Amino acid sequence: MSRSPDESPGSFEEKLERIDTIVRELESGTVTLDRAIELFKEGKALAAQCEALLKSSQAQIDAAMGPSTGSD
Amino acid sequence: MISLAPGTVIRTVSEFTNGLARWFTNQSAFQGAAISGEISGLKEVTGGHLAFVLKDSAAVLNCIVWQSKVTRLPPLQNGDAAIAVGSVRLRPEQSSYQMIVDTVHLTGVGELYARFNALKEKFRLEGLFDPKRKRQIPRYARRIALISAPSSKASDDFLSTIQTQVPFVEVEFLPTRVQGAGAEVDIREAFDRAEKLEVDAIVLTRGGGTYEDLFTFNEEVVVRAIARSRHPVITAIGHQTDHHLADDAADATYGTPSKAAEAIAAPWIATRERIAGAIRNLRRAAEDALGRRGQRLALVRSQLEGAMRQRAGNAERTLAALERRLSFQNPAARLSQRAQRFAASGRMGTVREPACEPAAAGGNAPGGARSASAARARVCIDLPRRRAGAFGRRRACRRCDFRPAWSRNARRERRSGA
Repeated sequence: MSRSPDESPGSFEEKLERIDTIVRELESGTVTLDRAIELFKEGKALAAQCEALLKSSQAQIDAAMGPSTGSD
Repeated sequence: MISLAPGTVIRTVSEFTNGLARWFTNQSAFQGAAISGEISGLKEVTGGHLAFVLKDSAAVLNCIVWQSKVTRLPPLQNGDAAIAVGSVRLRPEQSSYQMIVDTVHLTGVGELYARFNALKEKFRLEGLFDPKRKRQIPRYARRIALISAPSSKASDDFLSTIQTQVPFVEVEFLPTRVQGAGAEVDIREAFDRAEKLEVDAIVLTRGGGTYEDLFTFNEEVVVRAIARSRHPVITAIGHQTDHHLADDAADATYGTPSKAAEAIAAPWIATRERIAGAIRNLRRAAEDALGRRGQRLALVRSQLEGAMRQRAGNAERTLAALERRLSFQNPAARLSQRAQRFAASGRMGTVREPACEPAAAGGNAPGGARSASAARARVCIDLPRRRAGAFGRRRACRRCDFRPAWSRNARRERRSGA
């Protein structure tokens, strides 16, 4: 699967882990506002990538199962 | 124009046949006749009557036992040698005759049955029926050689069951005669042809028939062809209850051709169902896993947004607090504050803190003869002493520069004033 240039590497779980870390950093209140915005944008981008991964996984499951197996 | 010999009597079929039937009935030789032969084709017919054929090497006699007399008969089997006692009657509607049997006396084992037993014993002694010789039919048979009569019900049943249930199983049909003189040789030749094929099993089948018709499947030639086949052999001959030496020699045997086909199809069908079930489970598991990840993503997303809102809120609150403090330090604002206080104190007289202002203090002090300092002191010490103490090291009020009476400076001032 090709990856868009701004997409960060790593699995779905790694991305979620990174968002978790970002949330903790934001909650700690120790980061500057500029840094907080940077982190937030990074977190949102990662969440969008996770969403895309889920969608593509569902599409792959559907393709692998084939059209006839759904109803039997 | 019809030309007949003079004196010829013309009769209808019924007139003629009924006359013949009467003649039959009047013949004492046909009434209470005792006929010996071998029983064959035993079957129960509609109404609970029993039909069979009494035969010898050259002739057959159709026999029927009425239902009311069936229970009085000894147990009969095809191949039994017997004497049937009864009357022979004509069947005008069928142009045939038939024996109405009153009783049957068994006289011993019939010729065919005796042959059957002799062959069975011979093969048993040779070990042809030894269970250890039975080979396993491949669980997933893909190619089958079918030995059966062409366009017979047996082959049709077998082929249609395979076609319906497991159409991908290939059947190599080797049509052959299955009854009549020399049929056993044809069957052996079919086995010889099957030997050259790459198949998983050979199915030998035919539908029901008379004991004599089916006897082909007891013949030595057929039994030996089965026993020496390099492919496993499945038989399905006659009806459920029929049994032949070919069945004993085969590796597996079924009651009917359809049952043989179903046995071949069963493992495929079971496996297909297992695979379908596994696929369903796989899909469910995959979708559950995706669902859990989706939920976790939604949670993390809302946490991220919440954390950012909180962080931005903190920044806003900090900014607002700083602005407030800054505006408090603005000189213009401070001046106006003072002006307001001043104005307020002038209008209202005694107020607590602005009362420190010297003018106000002077104006309101009772007994104006006192010094301004003393007047101020009276006003200012209206403040609780505790607070006066908060003047700190300066020992004077920050606002009105009042020094409490107990401070050193005030005492000094009082002395010099006096």
